[in-house]
Amino acid sequence: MRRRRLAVVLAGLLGLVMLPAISGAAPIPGTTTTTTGFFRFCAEAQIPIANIDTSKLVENGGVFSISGNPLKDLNDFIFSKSAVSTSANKILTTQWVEYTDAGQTQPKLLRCKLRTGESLNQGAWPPAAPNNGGRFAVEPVFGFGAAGNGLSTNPATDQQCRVINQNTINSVWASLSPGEINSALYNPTNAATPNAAANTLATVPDTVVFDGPSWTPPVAAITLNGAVAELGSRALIAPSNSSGNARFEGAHYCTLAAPEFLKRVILGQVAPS
Amino acid sequence: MMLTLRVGRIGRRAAAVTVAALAATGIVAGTHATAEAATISVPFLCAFNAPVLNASYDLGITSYSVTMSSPLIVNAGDPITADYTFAPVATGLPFSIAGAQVRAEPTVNIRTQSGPVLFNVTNTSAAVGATTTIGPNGAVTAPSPVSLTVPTVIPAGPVTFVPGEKIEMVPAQFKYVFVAVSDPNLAGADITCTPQSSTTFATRTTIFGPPPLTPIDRCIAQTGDVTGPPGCKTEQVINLSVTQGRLTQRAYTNITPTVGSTDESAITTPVGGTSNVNSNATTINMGSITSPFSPTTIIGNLNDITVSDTRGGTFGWSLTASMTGFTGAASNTLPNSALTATPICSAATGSDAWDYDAAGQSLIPGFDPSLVAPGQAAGAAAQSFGGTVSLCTKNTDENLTSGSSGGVYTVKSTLSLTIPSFQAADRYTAVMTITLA
Repeated sequence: MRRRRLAVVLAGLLGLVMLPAISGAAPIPGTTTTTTGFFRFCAEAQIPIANIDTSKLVENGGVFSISGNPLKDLNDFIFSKSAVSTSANKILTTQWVEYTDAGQTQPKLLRCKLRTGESLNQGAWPPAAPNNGGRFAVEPVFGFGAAGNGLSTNPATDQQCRVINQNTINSVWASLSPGEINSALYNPTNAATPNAAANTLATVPDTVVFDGPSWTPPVAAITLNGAVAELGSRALIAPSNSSGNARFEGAHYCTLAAPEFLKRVILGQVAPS
Repeated sequence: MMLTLRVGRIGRRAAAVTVAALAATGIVAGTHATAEAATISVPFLCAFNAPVLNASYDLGITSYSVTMSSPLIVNAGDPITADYTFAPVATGLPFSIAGAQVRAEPTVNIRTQSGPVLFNVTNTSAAVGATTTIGPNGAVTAPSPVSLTVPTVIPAGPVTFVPGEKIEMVPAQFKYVFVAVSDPNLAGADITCTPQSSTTFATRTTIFGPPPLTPIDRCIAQTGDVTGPPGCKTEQVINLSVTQGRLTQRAYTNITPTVGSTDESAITTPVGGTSNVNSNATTINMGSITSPFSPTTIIGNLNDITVSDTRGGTFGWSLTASMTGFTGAASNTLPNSALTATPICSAATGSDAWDYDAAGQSLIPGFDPSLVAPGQAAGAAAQSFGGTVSLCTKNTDENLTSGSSGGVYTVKSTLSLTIPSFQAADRYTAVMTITLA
């Protein structure tokens, strides 16, 4: 009897341990200076943005995966495009990190090139649609075709980039020590802290643009609106079969605050910018 | 693409010529093989791959230098041992990689001279570096050089190299493989550098037919009352050396008339007239012109120059010209900047390969234009003699058959002289110096 109860408890504990895997996605990394964060931040952001059904991912027994592809060079990143590989059942994201220092030790902003949910079950580009040049050429398809049916649970409406920023706020706030919370200048909770009024750290709706030149220029990671530090995102959304430039379509791009930068802003080590 | 060869050019070429000449006839000769080293900058694309994380980090590297060395010659059938040296790769990663043990895995494509790739060779068991921590933004490196063994005979395969063939090694994919690393997320990680459309070889080794150690000088073909096969064979070892020649220039008269001036050579006073055709190989006549109301241009011609290079190695050269200002018999002047040159430079053909040593303008007997090395380039158009004018330059490109950068080249140039308005009447002279170096 006692052994059976122990087994039940162990099974329960095991279930808790396995919960993240069963529920699907890995959490969006709360840092960009660890291996997971550096390589996977944008790849994991793809999941909520396109409402990915995580049961269809390889780690949960499915066939699809999402790859991360950070690029060191900004121009390379600008040329790069998000894409899919139908042969590998893979969503290909790209990522670039903006740093505040030349030594690239202080990340500030991430740029993520992701796919729209609606594109994932779309097929080939129109015939003769031009591709990107050289090593930036991609498979000339919007998505996986019928094989991608259901990969997005809500393909009609992607989530805003702000959900990623909100996740970053939550994870950074949760990582603060009591002392850091007491000294924080901005506070995302409903209860005031010693140095910050309630609700002085928040996300705002995305600013949506529709072409690359509008998305590429410098953008703030965090802005100050009165006493509130606001995390906004410049987003680019180009649905499939919309403009005729197939290589630009099926794209959902986000600019996102780096967790490390948010923490420094919260602690007053740097000003919002 | 820049290829810098560092070692023993003259010796290398002489040896190569010897080997090629002898091998072509099936004759064998003794020679020495010294290593050739070349540093080659290859347009690699490098990425840090982290398979556990399903991620690849594009390092933004567009050019990567590697150094290879291989013997100048190997005996037919013997493998070629090439050394591959490489530079550290800066990662730009924001985190440390602890417990890193790294091994280099270079691959080279093998081809005969300028031919298609026949096969490739990789060393996947090179020495592993000591365990280390690669700091943020640190560089990845591994023990170097890595040795690669290139077979020259592949049993049951299509490739068997014969004496006289030149085997070229072209850098192909290069990897830094993380054999061990503390972070499980980086298990199986590597940095893979993939060449982007590179076809330039780093080193080249010539297959040599080795002479027998004890050549046979006698044999018995038949014994007794027998005729017919098998016969018998003796051997002769033939030696040959090709030594270095010289680099020369020689001018030949260009008799193209000027444009924009006339022949007034019969006039002697008050200003002596000038012909509008060059009178010999060392005189350029720009003709005669009446002092103009507005700047007026005369088009004349440099005498033709033949450059011949029989140094028999891998050398470049340049042909430049400088000129004094014009001065008149009555002390009037015209600046040297009034004259510009627009040169052309070409490999000599069967109709203009002039013999430097002949008394007159004679074609080189038996000249074969196909053996002239490429890589000559004329200087820019409309270069002013206010400075040094580049007439022609020849880089170190070799002719694939001769194996040297030598050849015969023809240099011509139009000369454009602008006479200012109301230029003082006079008979002007300048001296042009043409330098081959």
